[in-house]
Amino acid sequence: MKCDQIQSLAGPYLDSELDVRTTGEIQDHLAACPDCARAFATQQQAEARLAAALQQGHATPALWERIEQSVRQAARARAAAVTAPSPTDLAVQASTASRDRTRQPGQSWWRTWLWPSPRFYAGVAAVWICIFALNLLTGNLPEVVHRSAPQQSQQSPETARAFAEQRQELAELLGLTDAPAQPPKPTAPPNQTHIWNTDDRVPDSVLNRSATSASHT
Amino acid sequence: MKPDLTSDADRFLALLKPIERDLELYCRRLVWEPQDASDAIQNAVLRAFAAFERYRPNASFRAWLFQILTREVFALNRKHARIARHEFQLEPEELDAIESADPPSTRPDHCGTPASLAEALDEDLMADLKILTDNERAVLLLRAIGEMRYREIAESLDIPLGSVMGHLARARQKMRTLIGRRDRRPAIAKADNL
Repeated sequence: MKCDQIQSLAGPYLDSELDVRTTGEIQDHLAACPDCARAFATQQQAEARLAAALQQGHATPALWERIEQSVRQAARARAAAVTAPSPTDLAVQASTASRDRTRQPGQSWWRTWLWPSPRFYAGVAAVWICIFALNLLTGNLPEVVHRSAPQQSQQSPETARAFAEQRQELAELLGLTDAPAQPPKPTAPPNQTHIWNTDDRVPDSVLNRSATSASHT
Repeated sequence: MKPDLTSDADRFLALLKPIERDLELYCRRLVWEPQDASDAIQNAVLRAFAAFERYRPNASFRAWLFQILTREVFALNRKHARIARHEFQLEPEELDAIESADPPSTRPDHCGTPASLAEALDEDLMADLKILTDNERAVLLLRAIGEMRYREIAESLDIPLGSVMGHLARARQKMRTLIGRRDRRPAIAKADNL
């Protein structure tokens, strides 16, 4: 190694940062070269004194006491954050607090829940909606029933005649009347063929129409 | 199971105690504005405590805290944007040129006793350190005050090992030259008076 190469490694050599082989080479060179040995000694002395000058000073106790308090305060804050309630717990607490806030002293729980609360007003609105809906339904119901129900008020001619015969027989048995009772005039449903009995009195219009048709034939 | 945070604080403070003085000295030398030193130290320590859960016990607590403090101070220095305005960025060659203007025979021995040098450097040293670049100053101080190995300095500053050696060699050369020039001034003034 030449002198300039040795000089460039003075810093790492004095800081003991070189490997064993390079350190050995430098030591051999310094033993053989008085100029480099003198330069190394001067540099070592200067750097030691520079380091001593840079290391001069002392700590400020007040600063470190303040820092220690800050660290402990930060630790307490972290501990408080770790033991803090979860969001679910906070929501439950908020709900309970809200209920407690609206509940008056001495007021029962059901009164607190029903009056005056949004639930109460929502329930009232729901009842009114149900009543309105039922009114709409029941308003159409009679018309539907009237249209769909069978016409029970209209009796068939056979039934009417049977009733009349029974009524007449009953009157004869009881001797209540001399003349035979007139059976109720049957009202034939539209488009239904009328069946004539021998006891039926033929209307004049029918007789006239039959005569007219016979003369034509 | 909840972590014992009080115990963490005690453990952290126990590790911090032996390096308090070095941290403070390092910060006061490195920071550009002296009044920022206390805030920088406090911020760095609290930042380190916040990240203490991630600290590996087998790593060097000293190097880890110096790294956090260095970043804090660099951020402060950048924030003030004063380094670029005041830094001369003198290269060793320029300092050598200034130094070579004086004949070697007139050079006094600028390596006085440590006590006198410390007194002389107390205020002037801060001015001399500001001649250095941010990285040169950090490397020099981490080596002189932090007593770190080159590899630890490289990791702390996140720079290559070769850069550490280069920064340290330039910083030492600049400081030796600046201190030598300052020590020559009284001798020159004395000669002028004669």
